[in-house]
Amino acid sequence: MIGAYPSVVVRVVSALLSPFILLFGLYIIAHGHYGPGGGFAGGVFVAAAVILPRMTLDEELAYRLAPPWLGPAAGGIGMLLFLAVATVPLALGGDFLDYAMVEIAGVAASRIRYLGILVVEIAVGIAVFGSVVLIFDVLTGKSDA
Amino acid sequence: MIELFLDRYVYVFVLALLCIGLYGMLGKGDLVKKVIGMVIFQTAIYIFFIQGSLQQDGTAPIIDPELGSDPSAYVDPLPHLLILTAIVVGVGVLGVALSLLVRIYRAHGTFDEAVVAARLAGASEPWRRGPAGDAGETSARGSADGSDDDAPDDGSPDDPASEA
Amino acid sequence: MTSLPILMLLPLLFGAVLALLAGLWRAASAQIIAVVSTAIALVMSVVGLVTVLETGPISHELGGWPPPIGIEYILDPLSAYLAIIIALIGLLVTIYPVEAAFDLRPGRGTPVYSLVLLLLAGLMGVVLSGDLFHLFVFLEIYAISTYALVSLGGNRAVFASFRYLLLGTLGSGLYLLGVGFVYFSTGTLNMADVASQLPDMAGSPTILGSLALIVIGMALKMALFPLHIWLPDAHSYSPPGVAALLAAVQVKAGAYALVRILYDVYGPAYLGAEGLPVGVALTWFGAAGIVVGSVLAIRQTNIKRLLAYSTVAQLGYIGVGIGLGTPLALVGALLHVLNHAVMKSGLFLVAGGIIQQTGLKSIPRFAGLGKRMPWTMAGFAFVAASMVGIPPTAGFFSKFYLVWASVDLGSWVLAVIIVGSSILTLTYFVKLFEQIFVRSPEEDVVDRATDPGARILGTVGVLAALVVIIGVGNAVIVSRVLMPVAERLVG
Repeated sequence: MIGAYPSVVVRVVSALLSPFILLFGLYIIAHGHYGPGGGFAGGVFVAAAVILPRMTLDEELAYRLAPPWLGPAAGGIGMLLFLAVATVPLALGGDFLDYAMVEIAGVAASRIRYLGILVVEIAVGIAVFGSVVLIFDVLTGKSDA
Repeated sequence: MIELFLDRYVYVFVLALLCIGLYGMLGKGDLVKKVIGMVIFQTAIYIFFIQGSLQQDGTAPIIDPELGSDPSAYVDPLPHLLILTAIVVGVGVLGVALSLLVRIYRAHGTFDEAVVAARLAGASEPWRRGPAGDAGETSARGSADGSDDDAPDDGSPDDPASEA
Repeated sequence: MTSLPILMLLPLLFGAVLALLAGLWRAASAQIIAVVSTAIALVMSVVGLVTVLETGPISHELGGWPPPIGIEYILDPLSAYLAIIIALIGLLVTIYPVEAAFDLRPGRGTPVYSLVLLLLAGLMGVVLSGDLFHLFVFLEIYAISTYALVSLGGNRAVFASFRYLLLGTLGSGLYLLGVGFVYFSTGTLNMADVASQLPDMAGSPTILGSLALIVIGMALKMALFPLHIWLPDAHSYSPPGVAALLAAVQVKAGAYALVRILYDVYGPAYLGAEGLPVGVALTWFGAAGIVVGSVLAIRQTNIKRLLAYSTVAQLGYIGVGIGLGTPLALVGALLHVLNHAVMKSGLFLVAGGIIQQTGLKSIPRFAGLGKRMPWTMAGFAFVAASMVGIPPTAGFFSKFYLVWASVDLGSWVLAVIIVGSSILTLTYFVKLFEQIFVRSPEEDVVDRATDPGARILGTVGVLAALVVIIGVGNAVIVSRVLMPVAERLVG
């Protein structure tokens, strides 16, 4: 399942496509709040951009581009970022996830909520990316754990 | 009667999928087919939620200045959120299920539930992997503590009649 | 202190993430983070219970959005009571040494404590949630953690975990369908809001269908007979620490959800003659579970499997208590939640100590353990006495309340079943006692065994002491916490 695919067409096309899949995934993460997408779907796309090289390209190259520790690390950092952003309003005396408690001069409360949601979506995207890559690595037996 | 059926055909479809998924989960003897049945079952639930969120002549739930704030002009967005969350949860469960399937396959070489259960109950010969396949086995735990429950210190193998 | 509910949940969530990241860096730090997180959660839970007993329920709105638009966390005496149980058992299991608890060699325990903390966070979220779908999300969080944790026990455990996964997902799916029915009828997911709208819809087939689906889904999670088939395999093949967590707190979360939804959300209008005979069904299936669990436990030779079938029987008690529906019965059921959590985790942790010292799981080979491991077996004796129901240990009082409640309702059959099952429990524990205390060591490994280290002895000792303390102090618990809760739910 891992390692260079025998056909040169597959190898070249997937090497060409992977960066564009990554870019498309980032686009979906960023546009989740007023169109289809968001952190979950975008994170899966970004993970696809990492899993595709693992399935088709040379093994050593694929794991050099995205090493196995990226899965658990990204999962952990994404969730930590989400929890941190969600807990900041708590420290300021408001409710959990109440982004409007963070007062920034000159920015309306609804705008602050919007920015908070954006940061949270990015964190969720990172976490989902890490989780899907970790699932793939565990299934193919190449993870560290 | 026919109008009732035509009005509610989606719910009939959901019910059919639920039954197919349930049969797959419980009736099929192959572990992979059980997982597929589980996924079908969950998908039926998602379809049910989305069907319930539909609004006659409604559009996507993003406020359009022309249509104003009238809730009946938009489709209900809450079930969509519920389903997104449920889908992600389902992906997590599917990931765990597939990892378990991989471990079962590595230990027993088959996906047939009856064969695996018989081997684990000690009723048939344990599967011995050939020398070629085992050398690169990453999980040393798979052989060392995998036999913990099969080791002789367990006394008699668990009474098959007590698998109630 | 409106942020108390969140403060009970956050240490566990942060701990889960930090344990994962720190474990990648240095393996031993994961356990330390786990212990610290559960300790903070326990302290917060105790503070929470004391606060709500004085000031009344606390509600925390996520994101500042008021319910019913937003998600709400409810802290009331019932939630705080269960939160304390969850945090306490979690703390004891995380203190337990990692090799004995999870069958892992030291240094490779990295994701385990993260999973344990996610399990505890999921349970805490179920207990604190005031919103039906939020409860589903946390239900699935802890369920996924248990599927992974159960599979640590070896080949049989992997297969058992797979079967448990299928049945658990079925249960969650049915619960989600029920929630969908409720949402499409009432337009809201907030428990209090649904509770205020449901009495007007009495007799609606949609609501009755949702009640049936939710009860079946939760009964699957709670391992009520006849939906208990996943439990014996999952609990007996998983490592002792995992089994302690599962038997003590995980199935209780299903029981809590059942109590909360049946009595707080649906209310008496749907449980009586006009609705579905849920109470009767729960009572008699619970009674059947008591009988089946006790009878099957007697035949077992593997200690963990015996404890697993015993769990099925004890969950039957809780089912009977929930089904009977009088304040006394609910008090008995809730007190049994606490007692069983303490007793069963004590028994599993003792089994873990035995396995660590001797590697034995088969009861006929336990001969003479009492002479070689006196302190551990003394703790075991206390906990086992409580399981049988000998006063003044804790187990006696919860069974007493249940018998009293069934006699009050005139159901002599139930009372006989409850007392009779105590006799059955006595049978299999007497068998164990005879092996451990009366006979002399026969096996080599038993002869060479000694009392396990301080951490195992410490946790077992705490649980054994708690069994006696809860028994002696149960009047305080019942009068100050449980009776007001039960009267508010049922009255």
